[in-house]
Amino acid sequence: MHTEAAAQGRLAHHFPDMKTQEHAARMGMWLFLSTEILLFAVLFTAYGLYRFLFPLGFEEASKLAHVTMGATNTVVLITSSLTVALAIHHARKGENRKVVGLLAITIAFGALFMVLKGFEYYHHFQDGQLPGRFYHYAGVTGPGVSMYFTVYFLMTGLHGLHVLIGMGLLTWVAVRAARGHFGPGYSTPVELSGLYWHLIDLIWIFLFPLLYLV
Amino acid sequence: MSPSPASSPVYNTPNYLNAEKGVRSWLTTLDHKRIGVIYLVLTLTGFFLGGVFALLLRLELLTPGPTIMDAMTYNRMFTLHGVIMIFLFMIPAIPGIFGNFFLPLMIGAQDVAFPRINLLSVYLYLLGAAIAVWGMIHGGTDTGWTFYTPYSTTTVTTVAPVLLGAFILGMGSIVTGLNFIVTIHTLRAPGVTWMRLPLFAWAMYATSVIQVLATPVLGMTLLLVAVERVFGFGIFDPARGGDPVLFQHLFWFYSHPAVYIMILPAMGIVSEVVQTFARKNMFGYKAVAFSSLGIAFVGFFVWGHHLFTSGQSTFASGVFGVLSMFVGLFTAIKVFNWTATMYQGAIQVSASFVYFLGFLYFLVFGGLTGIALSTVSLDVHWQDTYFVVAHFHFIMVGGTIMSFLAGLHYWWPKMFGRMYSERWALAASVLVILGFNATFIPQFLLGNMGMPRRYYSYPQQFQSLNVASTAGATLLAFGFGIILTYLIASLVKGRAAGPNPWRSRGYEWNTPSPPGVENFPGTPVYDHGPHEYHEPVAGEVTRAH
Amino acid sequence: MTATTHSEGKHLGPAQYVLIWVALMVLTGVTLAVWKTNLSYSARVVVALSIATVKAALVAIFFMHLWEEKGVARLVLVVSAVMVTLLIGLTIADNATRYPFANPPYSESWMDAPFRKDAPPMQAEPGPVKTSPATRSEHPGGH
Repeated sequence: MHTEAAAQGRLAHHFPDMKTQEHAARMGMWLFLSTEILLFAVLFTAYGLYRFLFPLGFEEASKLAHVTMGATNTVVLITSSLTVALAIHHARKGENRKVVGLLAITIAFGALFMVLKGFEYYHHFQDGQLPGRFYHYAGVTGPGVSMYFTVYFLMTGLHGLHVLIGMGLLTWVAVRAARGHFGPGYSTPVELSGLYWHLIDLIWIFLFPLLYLV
Repeated sequence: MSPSPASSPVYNTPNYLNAEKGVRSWLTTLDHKRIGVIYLVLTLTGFFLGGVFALLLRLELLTPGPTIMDAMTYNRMFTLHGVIMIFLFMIPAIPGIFGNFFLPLMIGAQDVAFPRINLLSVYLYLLGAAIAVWGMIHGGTDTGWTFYTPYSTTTVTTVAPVLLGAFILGMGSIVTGLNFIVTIHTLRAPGVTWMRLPLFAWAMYATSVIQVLATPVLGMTLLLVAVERVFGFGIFDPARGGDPVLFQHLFWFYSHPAVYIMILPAMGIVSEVVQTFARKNMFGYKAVAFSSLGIAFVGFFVWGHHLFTSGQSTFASGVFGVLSMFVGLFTAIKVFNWTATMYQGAIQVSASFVYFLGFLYFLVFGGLTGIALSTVSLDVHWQDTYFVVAHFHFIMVGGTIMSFLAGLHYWWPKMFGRMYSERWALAASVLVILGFNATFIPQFLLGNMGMPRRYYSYPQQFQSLNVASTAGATLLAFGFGIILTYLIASLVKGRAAGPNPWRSRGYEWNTPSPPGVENFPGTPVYDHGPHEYHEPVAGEVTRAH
Repeated sequence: MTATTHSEGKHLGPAQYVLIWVALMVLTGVTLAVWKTNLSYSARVVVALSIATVKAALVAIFFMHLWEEKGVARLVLVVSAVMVTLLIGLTIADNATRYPFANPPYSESWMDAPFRKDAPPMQAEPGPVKTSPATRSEHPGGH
């Protein structure tokens, strides 16, 4: 199994064996994920601080968020996490066709997420619920209300960007699966992009209650 | 291991420098050694560029009023000096040069874990540096390297390209740190256990952890300022409910650990140098190894000491002040252990050792002023004065740069196979240390007397100390010029160094000088730790000829 | 040399993944249900965030294979979480304990400053947070 991978030329010259190489790849991915977590942490800090400073403004403004769409998106993302986890499972067994199918479903869920997000943004734009100085919705006014939408758009915007990047990654991996690249000795690209996708889900698990509910 | 005869030819045998020829082979190299040399050229260019701006600043400060530039230009100069020195030299240099070159050699590996990502970091450095420097020169950025809001969000000078450049440079830093962590975890040769890891590797590990965790925060924060400039959402604008001090919290959450990115690798170099030139194993290896981790950890808890006078609550200031003192604890552990290592050692005086001595003195002196500054009631007097400027230059120049020079002189023979002129090196080291003292000790006095930093003009009574400081800076520049000259000369006509001119027992000396393209023939196996000098080794020459 | 941290043969199967998915759906439902109850605001916040943490843990441990991947990966996640908590916690602690007028104008601690009643009136006070019911009820997807 490992010699098969080496024969395929996948073992780099500075790694003693495939096991170490794959372990290194996973470790590298986890370190990269931690940088993404710290990236979002900045926005969570801004959110936490401004919610603390303007509790009433944030509470009233968050009622304008579309809970139904947000909850649907939560279901969508969690299900997409399931499909990508299943894709990894089948990649390890070399069932590349199933991998392509499951990744396609995952990407479709990602697209659905972006569409629903698009609807939400569209409604907010229509009603004038925009960030900062652009806010002009007369239904809810007062200190902190426009800051809520600043934080809302920044956080969901950055998250949406990562969903798009994730979809791109998964597409590339799906193309490779279609070419039959993955098997028992080699499924690292599926695992690594799966990890990235799960992180997107993780971040949304916290975004949803913080922005839509509380 | 025994050194080869001094007359052996250097570049007749294939090594990493001459094995492949042509610019293209350098631009696409995956060899960590070549990447280290590329970083040497790039970061030294940054260093000299930043130094030019420093000299211009000091020239301006020769007289209380305008000397060679107007006030706006002065602001642009210190912005250029700060951004270039910190992001183009202090953060990337030691990890990029010595980390890249020596980490694999020190752990018995053939390369770093991700060589292509290593090359990527070089291009990220180039791209980020180009955009940032172009932005500052073309647009006249005058915010200082700290980009405080609300000035940075409202100034008419160009800021966004500099922020973008810094963001990209940050990505390069993250990628380097990520690479080193995985390398140390997965590529240690058999026998290189964690407790035999060279202390430079421990220091690089701790540095890399900071790079990975802290840099994204800076990236996002600078991005928020750019978004604010372009869209005006008001995230830091009090008129929209924003808090400008939030920027400072977010900025310093990175920038304080960043100063440990700057000093930890330097401390790692010092550990290697003192063991070699005292010819003695480190006293308290575990203490020094774990104190690196300790500094990295505690360094995350103290950022608020930059906010003492910003409106931060006295409660938070007190907490941060007390926590800041803990860093001194770990540094003191190292200082005592380095000193104890010298005790009853066989001292070999060389330029590296002289720089180490300078490092020790400046680190202790500068560090003590740091502890003093972390006392809130004292900082209220010293904040934004030259006292702070002197403090961080003592650590960054007196600490990191002295150590950088120690490492450069220590490892130069290994990297290039040539010896430089020891006489010139010793003379330059004395000049640099004297010049440094002359430059920055007056600044402590100026700061204590109340001269503010980043001020273009000052009261007449401060002039004599400013003149002294400028004179020192000129000496310092002269010293650096001498170093550059004899190092380049050594590449042309230096004598062959042989594999181990310092008779060091560090792992990396177990290779030819310069090393071959392949670090080791096969996988080395180690049955001892590095720098174990207490047992004799057959055939080893222990005294200089 | 390097510890084997990725054990084969302990991988979860599809059935287990679906089970975790069901658990995550249930927890999401619970979060929404609790939100509609009459518990106090802070109680609902605590519940919502606790459930979010549990969901995140499930995703991290099972979907992201942390329970198989011993060693550095777990440390990386835990340390990141610690740093995030540190950043948010100490920053809020600063604003929470500040001299009130050092906080953004019209924020809660600023408004509650004990000496505000003696201060002369500001030129254009934004006024309290106001919700006009008519505009809110036309809004789809709200509470």
